[in-house]
Amino acid sequence: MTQDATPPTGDGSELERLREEVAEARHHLLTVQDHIVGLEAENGRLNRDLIRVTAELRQLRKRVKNLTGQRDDLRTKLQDVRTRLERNRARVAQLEGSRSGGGPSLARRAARRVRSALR
Amino acid sequence: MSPRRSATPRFSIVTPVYDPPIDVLKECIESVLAQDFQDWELIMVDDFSTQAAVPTVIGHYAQQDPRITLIERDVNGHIVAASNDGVDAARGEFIALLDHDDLLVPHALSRVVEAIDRHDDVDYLYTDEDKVTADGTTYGAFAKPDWSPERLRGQMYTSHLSVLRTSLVREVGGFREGFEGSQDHDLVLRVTERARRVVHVPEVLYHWRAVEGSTAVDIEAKPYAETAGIRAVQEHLDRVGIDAEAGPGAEPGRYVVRRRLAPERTVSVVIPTAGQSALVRGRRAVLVVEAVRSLLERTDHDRVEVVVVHDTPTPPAVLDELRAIARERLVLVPFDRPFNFSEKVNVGVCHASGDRLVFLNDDIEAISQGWLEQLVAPLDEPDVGLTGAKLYFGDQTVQHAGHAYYNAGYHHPFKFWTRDEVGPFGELVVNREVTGVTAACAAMRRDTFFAIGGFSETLPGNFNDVDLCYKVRAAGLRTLFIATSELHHYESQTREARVQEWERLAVVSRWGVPDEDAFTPRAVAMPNLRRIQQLPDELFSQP
Repeated sequence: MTQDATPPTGDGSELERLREEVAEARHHLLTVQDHIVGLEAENGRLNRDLIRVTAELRQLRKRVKNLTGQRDDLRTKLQDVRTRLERNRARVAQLEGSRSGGGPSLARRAARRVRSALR
Repeated sequence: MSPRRSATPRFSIVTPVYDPPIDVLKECIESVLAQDFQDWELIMVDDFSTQAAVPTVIGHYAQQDPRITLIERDVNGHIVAASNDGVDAARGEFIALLDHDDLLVPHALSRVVEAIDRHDDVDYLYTDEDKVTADGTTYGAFAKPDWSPERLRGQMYTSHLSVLRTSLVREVGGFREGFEGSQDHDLVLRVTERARRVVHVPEVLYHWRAVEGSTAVDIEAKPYAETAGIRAVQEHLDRVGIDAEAGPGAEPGRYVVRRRLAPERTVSVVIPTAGQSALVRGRRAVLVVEAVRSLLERTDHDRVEVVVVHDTPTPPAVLDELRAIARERLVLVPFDRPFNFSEKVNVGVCHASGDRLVFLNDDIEAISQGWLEQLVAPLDEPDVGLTGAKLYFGDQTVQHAGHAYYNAGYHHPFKFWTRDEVGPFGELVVNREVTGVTAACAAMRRDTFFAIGGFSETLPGNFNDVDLCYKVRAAGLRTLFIATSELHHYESQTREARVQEWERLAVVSRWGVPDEDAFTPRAVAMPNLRRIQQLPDELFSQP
């Protein structure tokens, strides 16, 4: 078993001094090793975070790509609908224009017919 | 499309059957038929039931679905014989054990398949479970720890649902006669001794039927199981070479494993102190003196060295008293630097000569005889890196029974439970794997301590033990809570630990933010909420 580590005086002092040096060296070893283990841990944690963030980024990019594709599809559809709407409006205007001098509109004529049928 | 019977199904569900209520039996079979994973066979072994309706009902289902097989035994052979008939008939890659009155949740097998597909070397899987009443109400969910071999020695915690590789079950000889009541515990102990990988599926996939006479309702319902369980654990200890004795635990179904510490082991107990006094049970005492006195009185191990790292203002009378108590076993190490718990312990270890180290606060008093042997002996297993004791406040309430790291914090679950309580699912009375233990009383091998760099001196006050535990885990070693090593810890119950944010961040920067604890999930670790929920409603009603 080891002895009292309080620094003694007398003949045993050299032995105690050496013991103390060994203890200090061990202590130094411990703190350096802790530093290394800590750095490795932090490195590992950063790597894990990086992997996670990269995976999240990949997923988000995929999602952005999907959403962009959906947006482009919808834009194309919207454009198509707008084109058809314009075409139909023009057609309606054309039809209504052609009838404007020739009596009441189709709707008015239909309403009139319904009313007469109900009398 | 009608179900088809595979020549080699993924799962053989083995169900020994003996006189269950018919409606319950039907529910059990229906729960298998409702599986969203289809590649299974159900082998129902009727152990010569007295009710003729039992084989008739099973036969009816077997006619409807070719995946169901009925084996009728000519004599009643009890559960081991019936289960082994099922094992013999199994053609699946894995055997899933299902009792005749229990229920699988519809996605049970598909979840297990997902886990198997993630690890092709898995030999044993278990899932979480709960209980189900006659009216279908579920309760008592058991959020189990990840693979915890020490805990399996103290209780059959894996229980339901257990899924075992068929070839390994046959290799170990299936269920053993003479272990009735604990036959599954015995089998799982033998299988896990050889298993390449054990996987926990953290989801309730099994409803255990709570009916009169079942162990789901009354753990004492099968007293013969206790004897068989102790024998199963003892034989396991003998097989794996652990010098220990298995015995009955605090309640039926729990076992105590008392290890023997090899006499040649040298143990250094390192105690940092400033030599303070405090009131202990109404008497003013020097804490470190009482700690040293009790630790030596309550151990029968001879080769113990006590390393006291004392602040230089420590009164000489205190040091003299320590010399008188510990005599040649004492090593006094003066410490004259500013307070740093980590540094103090590290310095103590550097002056210690033992191959086993015990860290002990000076406000500790050993209670249980053999506390040191129980704490230190598990370190003979090469994959055990750290052990921690069970600590009580002066009023016999629990101060420490293992750490749990979850919800971005570091916690002491089960604080203030009383000494006679067993805790949820036996957490307080069974030795078990934990994520961390307090450094107020913990033990390590010397080589492990130096390999991981001891306590981090960048954490002088708080969380140095948390960091140490993370280091142990990063080294691939297990940390054990030892319920049989009991001590008082006279830390103030009302003391608010002054934790600085930088301390928490220092740990997080190394190890990340804790989310869920692997061994004490938050569902188990938040007892106060659970206990309030269990209090009778009338306590909360208006007068």
